[in-house]
Amino acid sequence: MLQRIRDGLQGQKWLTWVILGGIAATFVLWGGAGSLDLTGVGSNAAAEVNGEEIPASDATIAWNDTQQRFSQQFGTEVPEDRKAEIQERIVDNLVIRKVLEQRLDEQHFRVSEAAVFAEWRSIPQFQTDGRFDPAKVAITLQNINKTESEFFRETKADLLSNQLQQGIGASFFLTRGEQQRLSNLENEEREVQYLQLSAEKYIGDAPIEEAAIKDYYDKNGDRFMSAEYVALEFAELRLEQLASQVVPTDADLQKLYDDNRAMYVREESRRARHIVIGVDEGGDDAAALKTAETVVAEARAGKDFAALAKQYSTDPTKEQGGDLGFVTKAQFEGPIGDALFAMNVGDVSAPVKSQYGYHILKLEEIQPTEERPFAEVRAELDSQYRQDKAVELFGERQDQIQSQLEKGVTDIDQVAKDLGLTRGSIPQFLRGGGGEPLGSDPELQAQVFSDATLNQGKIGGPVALGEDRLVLVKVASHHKSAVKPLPEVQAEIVDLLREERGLAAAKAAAEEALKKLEAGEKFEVVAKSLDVAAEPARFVSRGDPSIPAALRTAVFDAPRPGEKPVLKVAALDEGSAVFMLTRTRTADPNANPALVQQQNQQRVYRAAQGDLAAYISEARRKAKVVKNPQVFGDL
Amino acid sequence: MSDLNEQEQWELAKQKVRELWIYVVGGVALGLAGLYGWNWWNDRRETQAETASARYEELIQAFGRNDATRGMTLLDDLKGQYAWTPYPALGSLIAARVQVEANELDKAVASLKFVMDNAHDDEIKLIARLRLARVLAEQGKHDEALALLKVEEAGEFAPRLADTRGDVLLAKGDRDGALREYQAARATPNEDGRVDFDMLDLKIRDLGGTPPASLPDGVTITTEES
Repeated sequence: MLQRIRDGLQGQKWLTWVILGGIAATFVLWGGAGSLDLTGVGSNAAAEVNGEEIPASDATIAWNDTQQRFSQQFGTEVPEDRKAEIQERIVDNLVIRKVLEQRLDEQHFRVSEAAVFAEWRSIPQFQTDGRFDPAKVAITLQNINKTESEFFRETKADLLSNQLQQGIGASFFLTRGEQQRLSNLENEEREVQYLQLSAEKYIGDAPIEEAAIKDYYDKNGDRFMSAEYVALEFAELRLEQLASQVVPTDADLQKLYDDNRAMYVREESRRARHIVIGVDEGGDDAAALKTAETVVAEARAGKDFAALAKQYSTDPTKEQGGDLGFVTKAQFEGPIGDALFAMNVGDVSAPVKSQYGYHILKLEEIQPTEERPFAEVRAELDSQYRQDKAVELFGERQDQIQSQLEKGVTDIDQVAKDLGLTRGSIPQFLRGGGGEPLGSDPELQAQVFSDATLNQGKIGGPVALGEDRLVLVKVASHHKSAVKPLPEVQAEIVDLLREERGLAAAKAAAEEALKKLEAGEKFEVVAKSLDVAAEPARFVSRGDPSIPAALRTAVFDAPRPGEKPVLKVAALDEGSAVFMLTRTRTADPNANPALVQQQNQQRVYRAAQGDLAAYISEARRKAKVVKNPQVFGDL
Repeated sequence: MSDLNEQEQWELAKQKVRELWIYVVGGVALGLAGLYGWNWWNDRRETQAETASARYEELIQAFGRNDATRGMTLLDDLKGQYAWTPYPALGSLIAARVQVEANELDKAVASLKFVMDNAHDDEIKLIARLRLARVLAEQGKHDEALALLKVEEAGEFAPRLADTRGDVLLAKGDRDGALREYQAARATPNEDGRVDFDMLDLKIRDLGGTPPASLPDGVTITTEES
């Protein structure tokens, strides 16, 4: 081995450089290429796009958001049969985003930090009175639960993809020739004369035969399905009901009163000023006491206490003339408090010793104890007590219910009796719709129509309806969706059949009329024979609201008239029509230049969207994508 | 395999290390210098790309307010100094729009050709190609346009190409050929709306064809032989 290297080194000097050059190259690649990930699609990736993984968490977060939005909008969970499709779309969107992100990066699309911040400055939510406000940035981002750096990256990504979109979309044009042609197509007008035959007129009053009704019923059973429901027995526990059962004794209320004394009693407080003659550690105690006594004498002689405080006090309160504000005895324990609460208003105390030195106090004002006596707050206490106790009981009862159910009890009456629940029943509790007084709570729905409750006869729950209501349910009988019996739907079928026959008769009459017109009879004459008005021939446009939409569509779907007019029958919602197409023309573009311009902008917009869509789809097609089919596996 | 014993091999190896250490150190030094150089080069490119990006934004604004002079100055700058970025091609696409709107079709042709020849993105090239064909058709150069619209790998752009081929064929007077192309474009799945189906339907009916889509509920047309 070594021999071979030695031979090689001796034989070919250039090889040395190749090897050492290799070392150099390794450095450069290592520094330049960043981390090289050579592993396959991981289980914690949603997909791999050109070798780059999309974290599975991106997909699961998006899926959770979607579920949440769905249930907010429709009040139910995402239906089982649509889950796969929606999840697929979520991953597709992430893949497309990644594909574009990679393209933008590879092709050196860049935006500077300054550009990102310039964008931020233009966001209205980041402004106060029209000016950029960094404080608003913090608040707004907190509300949408994003960090600044996350939002920075998002803004940057948006700006980058916007540059590509602008390049493709904002550069779209239609040439003058194209505009002219498309405008001619869209703004074509057709001269039409028509008559309308209403089905109602052709319904007649002939009775519908029983056999026809039976036949229709047999063939269209799926149109007459009853809603699925259960007859539901329930037992409920309400907080208010528990509260009314609680009977507090006087002792209970007295205890509550005492425990919450602070709510009902305000202790006496006193406003005082003080002067401190400080004694340092090892300082001259006697001298300080002497000074203090001098101050006391001056104060008692009537000198302004505040002025004395400013002159003598070593306490920071000297600046406020020694004012301590209102204090309670609890706040001032020890000899100072004792002294203060033994004084009368206006008194100046003798020097009181503390760890800081000698205090001289002057009492300025007393705010006496204020108390709401027990008798006065009894009602409040009573309701508070019941509420507290009821919440406690509610929790206990919930545990009892739980343990009863775990024993496999199936007799809801017994459970209700044992635990003091209120019984009730709902004759029709609908799947999807629920029923009063329990409503259509989704969790309750899920419980009632679960296998255990619906099919195995078990008591379901407890389900919480709000914070103060617990419900147990038991299905008494299950009524599956079924074809309603014929007598119940007979009238409905008769109406349907009459309408159907009316439509058919109107159509037959229209076809008859068409034949006459084709044979050369005059429009007005045919109309008169059918006892309907023939509208005079006139030009209509594609958007003309003055003729029925279905007729308009038929008119414009028909071929253009040549030498001979085009004659056709059109089926309408409420009957049939016969029309005659005589001429076509193009609307005068000068008649409404604003409309022409608006239409043109719309055409350009739609076509630009087409270019963008094709670009994105093609980019997606060319990318190497491996999806992880298990990404939502454990949801 | 070897006529030297282990001891001799060891000695020889030490000797080689003495001879060659300079190369190893040299290699490491070269490597560090290379790394530094690479980083420097990258930083410089990043800064330049950001500058080009800002020019491009300015260009969009300039053309947006119809200041073609300023727009073209910025575009020339992008083409000159920042050819390796995506911006000259996109800028040129935008310039072509402004030129078509000003009815300067020859200039638009040049702009779009620039994109076809210089874009770093195959799909941008294809978009330019489609637009170039339409400008040529506007100039009456139908055959040139049709030649451009023959693309081997059209991918997801296929229905857009077919639609445009239909337009050019019709302009040339080939109604049957146009109808065939429109029907082909109409037959492609269109979930993302890459072709305007409503407009295609108008074009198809205009040529006497029937679009494949189902009619709205309850609407039927009784066709009688005439």
